[in-house]
Amino acid sequence: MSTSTILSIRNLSISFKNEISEQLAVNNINLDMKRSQTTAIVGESGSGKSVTAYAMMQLIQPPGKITSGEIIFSPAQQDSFDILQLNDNSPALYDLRGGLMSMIFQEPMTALSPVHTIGNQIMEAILTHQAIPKQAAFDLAAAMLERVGIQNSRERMHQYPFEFSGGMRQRVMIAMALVCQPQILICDEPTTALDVTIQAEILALLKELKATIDISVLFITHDLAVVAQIADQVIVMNQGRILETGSVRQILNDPIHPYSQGLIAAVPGMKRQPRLDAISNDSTRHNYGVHPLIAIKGDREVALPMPLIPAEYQL
Amino acid sequence: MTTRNLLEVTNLSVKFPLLKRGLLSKQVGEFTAVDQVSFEVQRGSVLGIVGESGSGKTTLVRAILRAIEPSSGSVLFQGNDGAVDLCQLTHKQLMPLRTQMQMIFQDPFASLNPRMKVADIIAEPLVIHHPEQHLQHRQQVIKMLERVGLEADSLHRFPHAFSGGQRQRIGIARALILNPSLVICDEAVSALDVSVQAQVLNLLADLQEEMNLTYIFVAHDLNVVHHFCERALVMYRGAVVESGPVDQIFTSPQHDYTKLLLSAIPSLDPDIKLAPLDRNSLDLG
Ligand SMILES: Nc1ncnc2c1ncn2[C@@H]1O[C@H](COP(=O)(O)OP(=O)(O)OP(=O)(O)O)[C@@H](O)[C@H]1O
Ligand SMILES: Nc1ncnc2c1ncn2[C@@H]1O[C@H](COP(=O)(O)OP(=O)(O)OP(=O)(O)O)[C@@H](O)[C@H]1O
Ligand SMILES: [Mg+2]
Ligand SMILES: [Mg+2]
Repeated sequence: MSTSTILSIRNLSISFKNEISEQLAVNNINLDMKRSQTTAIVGESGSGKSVTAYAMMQLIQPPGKITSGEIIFSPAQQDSFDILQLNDNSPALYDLRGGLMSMIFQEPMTALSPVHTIGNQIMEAILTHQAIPKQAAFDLAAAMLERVGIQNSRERMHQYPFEFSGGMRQRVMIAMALVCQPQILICDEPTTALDVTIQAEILALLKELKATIDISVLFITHDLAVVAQIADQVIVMNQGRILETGSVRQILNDPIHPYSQGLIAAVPGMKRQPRLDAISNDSTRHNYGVHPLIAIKGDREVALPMPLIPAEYQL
Repeated sequence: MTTRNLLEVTNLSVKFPLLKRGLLSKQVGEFTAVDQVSFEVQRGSVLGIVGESGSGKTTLVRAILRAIEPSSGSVLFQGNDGAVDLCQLTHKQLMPLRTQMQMIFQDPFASLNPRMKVADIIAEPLVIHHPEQHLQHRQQVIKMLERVGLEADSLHRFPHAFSGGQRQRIGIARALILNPSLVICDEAVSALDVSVQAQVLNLLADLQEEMNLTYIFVAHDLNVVHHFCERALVMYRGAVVESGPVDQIFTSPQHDYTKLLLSAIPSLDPDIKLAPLDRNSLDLG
C-alpha cells in the first residue's frame, strides 16, 4: 500500500439476511481513499453507500453481517491496522469511533438529541475522548462553534436543537465531528436536506476547513453537482458493486461506464425538458452486473463485461 | 371560487407560541412561521414551492391540510361535492375529504411505521377508507409497488430493510393508492438519487396525466422544480416574496432572495466554481 493511501478496503462483502432471502448489500468491493483528499461515493439508492461507510466504523448491526474483507486504516504517525479485526469492546475501536474517524449524517435533527443542549452534546463528544476539565471542554466546544460559523457561541451553547435552523444544525454536527480532530471525516448526504443557499455555505465551510486542517473526507451523495464542487476522486456504485473509479473530471466529463453516463444524463438540467432520461433498472442489472471484468487505464478503473471494455484499457 | 381552480389559499398565517423555559413554561410571545400567504392552484397543474430552510414551506402545506391549525386565513378546496373552506370544517367533517388530498413526506424514516410490513403500510389507506373492497386490496398494492419501481418480494419486508430512497418510494405508493385529486409532495424526491428521482418524477408526471392530478411540490432543488412545475412560489421567512411562471422566475428573478437562490445552484462542471451572491450585499427585507 502506498503511503498516500489513508484507508484501503479489500474484498469487502456485507450481507443482510431475513427469513426469506439473503441480500448482498456490498459485493466484494475494493477501494482506496487518498490521504488529505475528498473521495465521493455516488450511486443509486440502495447501492450500498451508507452500509460501506458504517462498516468503516464497525457500525453494521444484525441482521447485517460483514462476510469477508478487510478495511486497512493507516492513520498518520501510527501503524496500519484492519478495522474489521477490532473487538467490539476494544479500546482501539473506542478511539476510532468519534476519535480518529467521525461521521455526519443526512438528517441533523435525528442525529442530535432533542432534550440536551447543543453545548452538552458537543462537550460530551469531547469528554468521551479527552480527559480534560469541564470548563476546558466548554471553551473548546464554543471555539469550535465559532469555527464553523456560529456566532455568539457561548449563548448558543445553552440552546436546544429545535432553536437552530437546518443549516445551523448541520454546522453543529460538523463542529461535533471535528472536536476530536479526526483524520477521516465521513459525510453521509450532509446537504441533502438543505436549500441550495445553505448547501453552498456548508460546502464552502467544508472546503475552508479542508484547506486549514489535514483531513481526509469520504463524501456520500446522490447529487452529482455537489460532487463536481467538492470531490477529488469519485467512486460510482450500483447494486453493491463499484462500477467506475476516477478523478472528478474524468467521471463527470468523460464517464466510461454506461451506468455513469446514464446517471449524468438523468440530472434535471436548467433547460425544461419533457422527460428525464431515467435509467431502466433492467439494463443495469442484467447487462453490466453479471460477470464484469476490472479494466484499468492509469488511475482509472471500470468494471464492465468483456465486449464493452474500451480498447485502451488493460485487464 | 372558480371551478378551474382546485385550491385557493387566502391570507393564510400560522403562528407558534414562544415559550419561556422554566419549570412552568409560560408564553412570552409568538413566532409567525407562515405570514399572510395567498395563492391559487389550477386543477391539473403543478405548483412548486421553493425557499430557504426554515422559511415555512412545510408548515404552510401542513396548514393547508389542517395537520397544523392555521391562525387565520382561508383554504378553499374544490371537493368532489363542491367548494368548501377547509379552515371552517371540524375534523370529523374533514374525514371524507382526506381521501382526496394526500401528502408525501420529507422524511421517509419517520413517516413509515417500523412494525408494519410494506404490504400493510401501502394498503392501510385502503383499509381505512374502502374496507368493503378488501378483496381487491392485494392486487392494487402489488400494482402500485410495481409502478414505483419496487420488487414484489418487498411486500413482506419491514421498512428498516430498505435504503432511504427505497423507503421514499413506499411512501409515494401509499399516498397514491387512494387516487387523490390533490397530492402535496414535501421534498418527496430530495432523498432519491438522480436516476430514481427521474423515474419518480416521470411516474408522477404520467399519473398526473392519467388521473388529472394536481400537485403542490415543495422542493429545495431548483432544477427539479424547473423541470417539474409550471408555476412556483418563492418563500423567505414565512412570506411569499415572488411567484409566477417557473420560466419567468428563472430567467428574470425580481426579489433578491430569488437571485441568491439561483446563484447558489452548483454546476455539474467541476471547473465552474460555485460562487453564490454575498448574502450581506443583498436586500433580503
Ligand atoms: N437494517 C437492514 N436490514 C436489511 N437490509 C438492509 C438494512 N440496511 C440496509 N439494507 C440493505 O442494504 C442495501 C444498501 O443500503 P444502503 O443504506 O447502504 O444504501 P445507500 O446506497 O446508502 O442508499 P440511499 O441513497 O438510499 O441512502 C439496501 O438494498 C438495503 O435494502
Ligand atoms: N411546532 C413548532 N413550534 C415552534 N416552531 C416551529 C414548529 N414547527 C416549525 N417551527 C418553526 O417554523 C419555521 C418554519 O419551519 P418549516 O419546517 O415549515 O420550514 P421549511 O421551509 O419546511 O424548512 P426545511 O426546508 O428545512 O424543511 C422554522 O423556523 C421552525 O423552527
Ligand atoms: Mg444512504
Ligand atoms: Mg420542510
